[in-house]
This record gives sequence, structure tokens and C-alpha cells, in this order.
Amino acid sequence: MPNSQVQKNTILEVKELNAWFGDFHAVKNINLKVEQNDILALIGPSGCGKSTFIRTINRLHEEVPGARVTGEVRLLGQDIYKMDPVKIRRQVGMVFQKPNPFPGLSIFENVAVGLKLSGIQRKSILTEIVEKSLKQAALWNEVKDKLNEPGTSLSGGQQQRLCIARALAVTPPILLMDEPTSALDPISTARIEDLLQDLKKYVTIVIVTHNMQQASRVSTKTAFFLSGELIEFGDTSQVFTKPNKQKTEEYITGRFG
Amino acid sequence: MDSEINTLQQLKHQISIMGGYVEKALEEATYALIARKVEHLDNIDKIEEKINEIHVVIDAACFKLLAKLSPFASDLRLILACFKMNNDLERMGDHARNISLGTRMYLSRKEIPLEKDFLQMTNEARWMVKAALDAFVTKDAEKAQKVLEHDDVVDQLKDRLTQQMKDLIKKDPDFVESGIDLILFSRNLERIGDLATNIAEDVIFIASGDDVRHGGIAVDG
Ligand SMILES: Nc1ncnc2c1ncn2[C@@H]1O[C@H](COP(=O)(O)OP(=O)(O)O)[C@@H](O)[C@H]1O
Ligand SMILES: [Mg+2]
Repeated sequence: MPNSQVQKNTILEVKELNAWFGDFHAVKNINLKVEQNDILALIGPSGCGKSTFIRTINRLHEEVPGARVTGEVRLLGQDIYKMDPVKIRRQVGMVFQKPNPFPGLSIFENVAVGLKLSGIQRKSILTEIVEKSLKQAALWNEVKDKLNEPGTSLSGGQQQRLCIARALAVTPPILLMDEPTSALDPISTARIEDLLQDLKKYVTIVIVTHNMQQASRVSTKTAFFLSGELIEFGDTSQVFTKPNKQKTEEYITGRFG
Repeated sequence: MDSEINTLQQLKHQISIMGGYVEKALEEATYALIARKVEHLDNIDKIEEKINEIHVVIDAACFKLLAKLSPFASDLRLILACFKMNNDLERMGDHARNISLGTRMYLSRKEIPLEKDFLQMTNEARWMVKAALDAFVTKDAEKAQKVLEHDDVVDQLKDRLTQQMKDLIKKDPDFVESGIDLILFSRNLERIGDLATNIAEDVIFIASGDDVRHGGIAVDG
């Protein structure tokens, strides 16, 4: 297998990561690495810590009162817990279950707002990046003639793609998505899934999904969480055909969860 | 009838029923041959019909279960393996039928005293079929491994028997027809052994996810 010899860049490296809500130990000693062009799917039963884990990757978790994190999260080699949390949150966007375009802002402004916060003011540059981001999010053709209409005027699936464009605009090293299609109809879901395949050329993706078919369709790596622990982490094709751990086997064949 | 197979448990059960028919067909054909009791061949056409019927049903059921369950891991492996085993069992049935058809002619020809090699070969082939099916029912990879180890024995017996028949025919051309019959029987038994080996490999695949065919070639992706 000569291909496996090719050295890929590590985008995300998590080392001995723990997260608490007060006394409650929600995420336990996680170690994993995600490489360039990977799509990592996080699967596991409800309450196993998927959202908590993904929220440690852009320092959202510690926003919860009483919440705490130990360990390392390295993005492009840099430990984000040694950096300015506000900057990290601005740089590493998250797409949530419910599309959340900024109310009152136009489609254009929704995408441009992060850029403006980071100091880009020139209209021509903003226009260029907004167009590029909307194209990457496969939304451009549908909105190019109504960029000044409110973001909230779009359909649910379009709003979700707008949120993806907003996250992409600041050229993050990684895109975090927490059940991004759970609130969408099957066609909008399929569009987002297709989009992920295009996006992985530009950005590494971590996606939480409770839908195992989705995880197996879209991802290259799969991490199975149970009770805050990472039970199994590996190539998606291996995890879904020949899991190494009995617990993974039981979960993905629907024996529990 | 495929609507009766709605679970993996039911699918497994149908495979073992089909396996039972194959064993029965093989038993009747080889008994008729060895004991020279032609009446034992009468059942084989009926058994063949059953095998063909189940073959179609299991095919449809695998197709349906794949679509309905979108299975993963051991469930996925089980359905894929059943799909292959179904074909292999059907072909075993064909070989048993070949032996049965040949036996009708053979029993009307000049009798060759059956050597112990031929009897042993029959027993080996039948043991392999039974052991592979047992291993499937109990998901016993070790037993399946034993089946794999027996394949060479059947192959060697076939080669030896073929040589014996050639020698016999050269010495006494009166044995030409019955000698060729026995060569063909041993060829069918050898194929049955090969197919039992396939089933044993499928059992290992179900149990472990490992593809042990052809010495286990690594496949990417
Ligand atoms: N704000 C919170 N305060 C206290 N406990 C929480 C909070 N949010 C989540 N939890 C608990 O942490 C665990 C992990 O939750 P979460 O990461 O949301 O799971 P998942 O996303 O896998 O469904 C659960 O037991 C949940 O009840
Ligand atoms: Mg969650």
C-alpha cells in the first residue's frame, strides 16, 4: 500500500482531553488526530459527549458556567488553549442543528460579518470573499440576485448553507458541524452531504451525527463515543464493516443506543 | 415466500435448511453409488427442486434485507456471506445431481470393486460439507479452519483415484466406461469439497471480518 506512505498534514490533534460540567466528567481522556482533507464523524448515543467534545475544539465549552477543560487541542500544531479564546471562536466556526443566520442581517452581511470583525473593510475584498464563500457553500446561484435580502428569508436548507458560507469566509483550518442536517428534509440533507465532499478539498471537517448512514456516507474517519469515552477511532470503512471493539459493533448494528 | 425472511436470524435459518437439503442429496447419491441401490436416486430430483426454490428465495431475501436494514459490521458481513453461500450451496446440489445421474448409468455397467480411496474421498467430501455448515450455524471459525485444512486431502485422493482408473482402463478396456464414471464422480466430489471450503471461508469472514481466500490478499479501501 504505497499510498499510506504519503505524509499528510495533521490539522487537528487532541491529546488527553477532558471536559467537565462542574463535577460532571462529560468527556474523558480523548486522544485523536485528524489530517488534511479528512471528514471526521463523531457518533454515539445521545448524551455520550459528542457536542461537548466538538465544543472544546473551538473553546465554546468553557463558556458554560462551571465548565472546565484539561488537555491539549492543537490546530495546525498550535495549542488553542494557549491562545486568545475570542480569536479562536471567530476563526473556527460551528454549524449547529438549527440554522442560525444573524437576524436582521442581509445574506451578504451574514457572510461578511466575521471578516469585518477581523478588520477587513475594503468593499471589493469583502465582495470577493463573500462570493467565493457562497460558491463554496453551493449557495451562490440561488442568492446572487438577492444578496441584500435578509438571511432569514431563505429556506432551512439554504440558511444552513449560508451558515456554512459564513464559517468558511474566515478561512478556518477546520469546520465544526453539530448535527447540521437533523432539522432538514431529505433533499436539503443530501445537498449538504454532497457539499461536504466538495468542501473537504478546502477544509477539514468534524461532524457530529446521530445518523449512522450519514456518518458512513460522508466521513473518512469515524470516532465512536460512549459515556464520554472514545471507544473506537479509525477509518470509516473499517469501523462500519469490521469494528475492532465489541461496543462499536453493538452500537452500529443497533443492539443498543 | 421471501416475505417470510424478515430478519437475519430467519435468513440464517433458511441457509441451514438449504444446507440440510444439500447434505441429503449428497448422502442419497453417494449411498446409491456405493451400496448399488438405485432406488435411493429417486428422491434426488425432489430435493433438487427444493434447493432451487430456496436458492431463489434466499437471493431475494438478501436483496431485500440489504435495502431494508442498511446493515453494518457483522450484520452486513452475514448478509453478504449468505448471498455467496446460497450460490455455493446451489452448485453443490448440482454436483450431487451429476453424481446421481451418472450413478444410474454406472450401475448398469461392468462393476469395479470400489477402492478404499474412493470411499474415503466420499466421506471426506461429506464431512467437509457438514462441518462447514455446522461452523456456520455455530459461528465457529476454528471449525471452519479445519474444513480448509481438509481441502488438500480431497484433492490428493482425486488425483490418486484418477491415476488408478487410468491404469485399470489401460489394462482392461472393458472398464473404460465405468472407469470414466468414477473419474467424473471424484471430480464432482472434489468440486463439492472446494465449495465447502468457500463456505468455511465465508464463516471466517462472518466471524472475524477477515478475507482468508487465496492466502488472504490485502485490499485497500
Ligand atoms: N450545560 C450542561 N450542564 C450540565 N451537564 C450538561 C450540559 N450540557 C450537557 N451536559 C451533559 O453532558 C453529557 C454530554 O452531553 P452532550 O455532549 O450534549 O452529548 P451528545 O451531544 O453526545 O448528545 C450529557 O450527560 C449531558 O447531560
Ligand atoms: Mg449533541
